[in-house]
Amino acid sequence: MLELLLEVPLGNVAEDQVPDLSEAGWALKVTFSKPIVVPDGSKVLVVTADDMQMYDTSDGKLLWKQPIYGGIDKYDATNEIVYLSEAGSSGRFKERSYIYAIDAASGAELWRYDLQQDARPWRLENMPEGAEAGSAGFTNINVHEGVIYAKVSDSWKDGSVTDRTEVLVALDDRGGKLWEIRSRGYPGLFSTGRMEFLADKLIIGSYTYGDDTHGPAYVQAFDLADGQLLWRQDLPWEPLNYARSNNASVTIVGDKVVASTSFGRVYVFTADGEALGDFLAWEPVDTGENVITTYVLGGKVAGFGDDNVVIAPSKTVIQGAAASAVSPVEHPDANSVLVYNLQGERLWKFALGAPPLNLIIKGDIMLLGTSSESATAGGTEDTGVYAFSLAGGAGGEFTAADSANLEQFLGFFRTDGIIYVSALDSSADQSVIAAVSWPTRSGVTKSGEHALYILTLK
Amino acid sequence: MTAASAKRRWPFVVVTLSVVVALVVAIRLRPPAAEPAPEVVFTTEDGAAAWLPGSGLATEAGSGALRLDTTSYAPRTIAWEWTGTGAWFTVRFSDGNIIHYSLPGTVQPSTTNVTFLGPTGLPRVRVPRVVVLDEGPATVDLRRDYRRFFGAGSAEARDVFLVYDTGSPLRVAALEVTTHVAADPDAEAGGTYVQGEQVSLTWQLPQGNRAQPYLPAGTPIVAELRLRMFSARTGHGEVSVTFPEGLEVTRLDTRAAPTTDGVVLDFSLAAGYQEQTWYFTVRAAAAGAIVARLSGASPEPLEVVTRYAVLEPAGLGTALKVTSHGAYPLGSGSDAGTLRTQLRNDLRLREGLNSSLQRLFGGRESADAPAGVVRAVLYNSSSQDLVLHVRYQVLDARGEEIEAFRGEHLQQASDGESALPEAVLLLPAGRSVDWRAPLYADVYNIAPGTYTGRFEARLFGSRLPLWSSEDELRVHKDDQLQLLVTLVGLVLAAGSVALFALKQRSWLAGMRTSQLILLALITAVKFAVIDVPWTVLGDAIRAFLGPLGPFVQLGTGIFSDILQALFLTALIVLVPKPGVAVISGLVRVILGAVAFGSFNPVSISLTLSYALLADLLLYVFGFTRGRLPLGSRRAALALIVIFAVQHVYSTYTFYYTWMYMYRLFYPDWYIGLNALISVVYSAVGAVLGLLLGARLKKVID
Repeated sequence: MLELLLEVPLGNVAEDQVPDLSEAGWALKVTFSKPIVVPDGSKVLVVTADDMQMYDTSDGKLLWKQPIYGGIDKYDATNEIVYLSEAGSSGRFKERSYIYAIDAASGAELWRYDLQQDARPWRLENMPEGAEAGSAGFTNINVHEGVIYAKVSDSWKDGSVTDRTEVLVALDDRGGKLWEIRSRGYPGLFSTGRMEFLADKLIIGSYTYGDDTHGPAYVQAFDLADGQLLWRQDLPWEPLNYARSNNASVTIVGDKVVASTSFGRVYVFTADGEALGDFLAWEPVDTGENVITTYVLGGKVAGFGDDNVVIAPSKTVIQGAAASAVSPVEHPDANSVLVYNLQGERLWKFALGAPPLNLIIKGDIMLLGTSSESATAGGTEDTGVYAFSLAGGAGGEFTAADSANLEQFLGFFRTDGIIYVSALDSSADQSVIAAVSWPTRSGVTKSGEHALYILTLK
Repeated sequence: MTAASAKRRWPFVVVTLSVVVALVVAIRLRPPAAEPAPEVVFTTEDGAAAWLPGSGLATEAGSGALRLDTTSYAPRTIAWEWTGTGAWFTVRFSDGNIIHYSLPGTVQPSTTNVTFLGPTGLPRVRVPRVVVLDEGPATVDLRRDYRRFFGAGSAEARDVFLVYDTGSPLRVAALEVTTHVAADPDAEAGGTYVQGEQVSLTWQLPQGNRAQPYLPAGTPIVAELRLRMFSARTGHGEVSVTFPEGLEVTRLDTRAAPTTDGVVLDFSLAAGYQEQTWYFTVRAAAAGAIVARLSGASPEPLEVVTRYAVLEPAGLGTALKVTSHGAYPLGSGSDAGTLRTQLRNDLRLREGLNSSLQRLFGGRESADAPAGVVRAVLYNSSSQDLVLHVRYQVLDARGEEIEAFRGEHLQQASDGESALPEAVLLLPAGRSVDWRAPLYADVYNIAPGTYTGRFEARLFGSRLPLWSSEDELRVHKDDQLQLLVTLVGLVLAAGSVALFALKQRSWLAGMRTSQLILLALITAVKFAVIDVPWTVLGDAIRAFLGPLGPFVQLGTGIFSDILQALFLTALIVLVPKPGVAVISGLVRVILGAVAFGSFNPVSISLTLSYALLADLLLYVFGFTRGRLPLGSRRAALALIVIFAVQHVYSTYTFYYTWMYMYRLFYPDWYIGLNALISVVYSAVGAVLGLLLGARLKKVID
């Protein structure tokens, strides 16, 4: 059961940072605050546009506060160290793209590593003279067994051609580089989800603007020891997709790699990249007048147990029309949680009524953080943190019967404001949860608050 | 008033002001009149025990439940005293959430999850919470505890029960509702808390409309039937639908089995939460009611009757008011992102140098800033919610949509957001929506000109346009071909000088003295006949012609085109050597600088690049290599071609360089007309030059 431990108002956000959810691309111009929970749950860091504040979850006291390093893109943490990656920019290349290692106890900077020292030479080697900067310095970072895996992406426009270079580095816990791999072009190394780890392999999904122009999205596996590419599997576009672009979201289920396309085709691979099968998680609805579908991006596909995968599609997309966060027409599977076994059998579904933008599964606990489907309120009755138990019944296997009376549902905590992507984090055992709410507006009417919620799950 | 009298009165003024301020402060700080605590009235719901005013509840053993009368208020804080075991207060909030405040004891209240379907049919799960309070005095803040367990929200406590199940003496007394608010009747009427609803079988008539059902008369439109439910059964469920007379189903859901007056929808049942959705296309002639009967999923069949109105499409169209519709360019610099409303339906595309080349050689466009924003403010004056499919199309002269304006050519890092000027909107009754969508334009495939911009709003799921509007859309292009041409001119001019520097020795060594004299003479004549009059009289001629200035080329072309070609051709006839045109051009530039102090970069660039191009073409065609005899018809034709190329080049270079360097504007037709005149005149000049050259040659020989 969820219970509020601490609520911290984080102050007003700038007027131009309060999005109208009915506008296309509303999230692109907002720098959202992010919470970070250390694995043992003893501390919670919240990173805003202005500062970082670390709280002790045992008594709710502020441990330390530091000025911010100019915007944070991604993060990960151990009990002792918080790793932050600097935010990217659009339209200009970054001088620096730092990875910061911060002492969780004191807030002192332990070391920093500039990804641009690897990325810039590679970009300059490949980028035509006079090309314009696109999305530059976008980073991703994950920590696994004491090694920090960080990647940075720099794209440019050379007249008619969009291109990019990327670098993935492995750093030891003192910021020393262990190895580096480089990528040129699309889909490359960028993905909307997190990097995954399976035994001695690093698994990464990818994003493509279109199979015809940039090639298909794919899943790649790299050797954790030296970064060598071990295998790659394409996830081709299909006509039932809502758009030309496609994303490969990856997760690990037992000893298998599971990857989902944006349009819900789920592929199952062995650890060595051998294809075991695929299934379609949902189908577009053809009403005769319109084709209606939904989609899923990275971070909203997660596995549990040895045979189960959770997919949380969000927006409804009407083919031929611009997608909207607040569409009055809804695909039956939009804004819901779908649980499948790897044979493609749908075991369970729960309709949320709000777009799930965060999905965290650790152990037997699943957490969801939702945005709002209403353009007129900062948060609806469905905006907040959901907690479900995925513990199986007899034999430990999750089946449809386990959810019969929704006793699996552990609680819902409504937040005053939406929970955007990466605005939800939890401890390793999910007993401490942190969420940051963000205000939205409808026209000039603002609703919702910018606040940190630290919850406990008992 | 004297200074002395003022001095005497100031203590009085100070005292008076102090009293007034003190009174104001006292009035402002006076605590508001305390609202009297509501009377505590419990009714016995179950069991034998009763709540007695003054002494409360006292029992030795047994079980039962008492309910606090909260019909007129919602308690926020409650205080009481209790001793014993096996009792708890259950507080149920208006959204269905529950908190149990319990005495420590062996019997605990049930914390089984409560599941039901909310007003919109969405599943709701409530997880009851238990707070254990010690014996003795107890105080609970219901709002604080609600926030602690359930988060934000405006739910108020609606029901308060005192439940006991004890085998030992229990006493609960001195209960007082210390703070409260008046009960909100709207909260009840709004149905925010619907306990016990396990099935939701609802139609969206038409699809997307969750408010009052309606259908447009005589128009096929999509309707949606959605079943959501909690069910403990497995096996098969069935929804049988009966459509009324006057409602024609033109498209059945693929899973529907038709019957004589409707359909049967069969589905598999699994225990727990589940849902099914079916789609039909229907056409209504008259108002009626659809009967949907659910069986197999619950012990008792559930019948849902959905009555719908039928509305005339014309009336719906009239009720939809649209203003401010158009395509607007966006501001730049400090106005970036704002609509330039004064430039409605007037777009200026930014075509870079790359795009100019791209247009020549083909290719894709990258994602750029939109060319503008399409906007329409839609107001629904009807009493029905409208689900609208709104779109903006740019049509060509044949009335067909130009795909290059749909933004589908862009490489977008989208998360489902696309650039399409087309959207599905909910327009509630009595409300307005300011719809805006970026309008992208593929500059490689869009020519400047006037197009038709067409807005259309139709009911979603139908082909019925409720509103449409067509306006002229003017599209301009900032063509950077000007820069390219200017650069080419400068490069050729520089090349001309460089070539002269490299080759001048061999060129001059290859000419006889008489040829050098002829070269100098004819160049001087060209300068005197062409350059001097234009330099001296050019402005006067333009002023004299006034509005006819654009046609000055008809007159001045005699000098700049006919005589130019004439003298150059005559020179080539007399001195058929490489470098003749370049040397002549350089001499003209020097003469112009010496005589008039003229260092006009456009003129210098044009003269020198023209000379280099002429020399090159004459060499390639063989005139200055002795390969092509000048007396032949073939030579005359070749010269006409050479001068045609030369004068098309010089005309476009002249105007484009002026346009680029001095930010001037000449319409394409004007430049084209001048090029045509120049080509014709130069052909005449070339023929005359051949004749002049031949005669002069005879004289010299």
